[in-house]
Amino acid sequence: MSALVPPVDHGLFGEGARSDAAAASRQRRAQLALRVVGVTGLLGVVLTVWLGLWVTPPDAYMGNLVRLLYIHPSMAWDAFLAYGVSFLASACYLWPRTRDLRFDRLAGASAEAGVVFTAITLVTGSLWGRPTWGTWWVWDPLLTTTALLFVLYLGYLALRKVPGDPEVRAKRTAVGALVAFIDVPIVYFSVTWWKSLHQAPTISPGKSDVHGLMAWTMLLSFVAFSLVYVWFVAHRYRLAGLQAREEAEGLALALAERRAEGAASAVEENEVWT
Amino acid sequence: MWHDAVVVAGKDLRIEWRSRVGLNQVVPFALVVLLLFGLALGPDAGRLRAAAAGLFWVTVLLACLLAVQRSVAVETADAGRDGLRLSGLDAGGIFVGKAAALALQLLVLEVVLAVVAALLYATPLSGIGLLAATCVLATAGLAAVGTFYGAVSAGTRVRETLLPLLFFPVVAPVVLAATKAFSAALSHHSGGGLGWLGLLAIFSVAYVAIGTIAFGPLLEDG
Amino acid sequence: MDMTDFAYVQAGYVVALGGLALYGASLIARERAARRRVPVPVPVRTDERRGEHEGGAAGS
Repeated sequence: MSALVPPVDHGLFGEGARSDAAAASRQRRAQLALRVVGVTGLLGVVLTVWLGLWVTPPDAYMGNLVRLLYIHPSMAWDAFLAYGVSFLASACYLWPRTRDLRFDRLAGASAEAGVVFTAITLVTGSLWGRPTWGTWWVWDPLLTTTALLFVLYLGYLALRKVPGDPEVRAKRTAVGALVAFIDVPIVYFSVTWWKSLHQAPTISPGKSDVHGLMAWTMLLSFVAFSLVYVWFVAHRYRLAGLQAREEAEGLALALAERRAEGAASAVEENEVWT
Repeated sequence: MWHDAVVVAGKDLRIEWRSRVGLNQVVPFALVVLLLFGLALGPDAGRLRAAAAGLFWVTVLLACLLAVQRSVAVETADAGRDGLRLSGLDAGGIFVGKAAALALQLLVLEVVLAVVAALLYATPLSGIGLLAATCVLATAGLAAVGTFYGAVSAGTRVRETLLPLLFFPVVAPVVLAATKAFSAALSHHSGGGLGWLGLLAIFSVAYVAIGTIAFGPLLEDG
Repeated sequence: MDMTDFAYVQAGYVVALGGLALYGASLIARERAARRRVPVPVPVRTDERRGEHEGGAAGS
């Protein structure tokens, strides 16, 4: 059914194709809101970097390395937030009453942002671990779970890239996302237990005194990077809507393009065609 | 549902019995992997013995991937999927049946591999009860997740490359827990393996349940 | 001030901000390209099509 009727798309951010004036003004307002989010997030990030690198003092125990705490935990938080949103959107898609391809696009958009944040979390964590623990990697439960999450969601994104009917694909990926998400607590539990049997030293960053300006900087980093996350998801979601339309009307668009090309060159070959 | 499961499992096992792809290709492949691990870790018997449990389960995982692909291929060839859909069999039953057939084949493979690994890696088998229980529970989990993701990736053009990427991270806890349980059994501390058995049981029950519920929608779409 | 530690910190900031900037830039670039390929918003007779679409989705 959906092959014949291209999915009509109004979009959460009003990018859809409604021709009336109300929709146009809504679209402008959504665009403006998104701009505000983007600019605020960018300012927040700049402020975080300024405070984090220049204004805040080095920590008594961690020295300058405490500065990594202004980016690393907020990245990890954004990653988990992104996967949570993706999970909820997938569940909404699978629930028959809220089934809507917009949820599928939101799930995909959020998962992609999540993968970006997870990658940054892993690298910044490793950069913190090297001078602190003397090694780039430890088999800490949190680290191992994060690494597995990264791979799990790379698989999820790969599954999303598989071409096919949008609704079939949406259902397939939503089910895949649920199954992957359920794995997370099991992985975390098993790795925790595995480590505890080895009597490894427990490692917890951020045990030192974080107070005053440092705490505020950290709080600011959470807000700023969360805004960046929202901006990412909104843009990725819009892009997904465009891509869906392109997919639905792809053949017609390609035909129009070829015809336009043909019209230019076919003037002298007119006899051949007629 | 159970009747349907038996029908489907019987069908898959009959196909395997007649084609003997598992026996002629998957089992030899697993043996090659065991040999390669031996080469990679050197002739030092102590090191091999220490790693034996982990090597065994990684080998099982690799062989399991092939078995899953075979189990999917049986359905995709000649539009067998449509046949299954038209058969009126319960989707949950189809899932359980396919997973059970896969699990049975894997169990046979594991017995063969265990004997060969014990010889190659100079690891006398001890704690047979724990070993057997681990095999059964871990295989149930592997088969459930494998059948599920086999169906997810079936019908896509990239299924050979997509399946391992989806499958392996999810079963990472199975490899971890099964390896731990095996190590406990082999080092005569069977009591230490019981907790891991519990974890394997939770994993298997969870994924068999999810697969049974979620298989219907997957099958509908083709 | 331990300069080697500070090098790790700088590397961390470069990776984090650089990664986010790259992803953001890729989003904008991809969106522009998509807009070029899907130029005109299609005028849609919203109501009947939407109804049909929803009915189909709910029935499956």
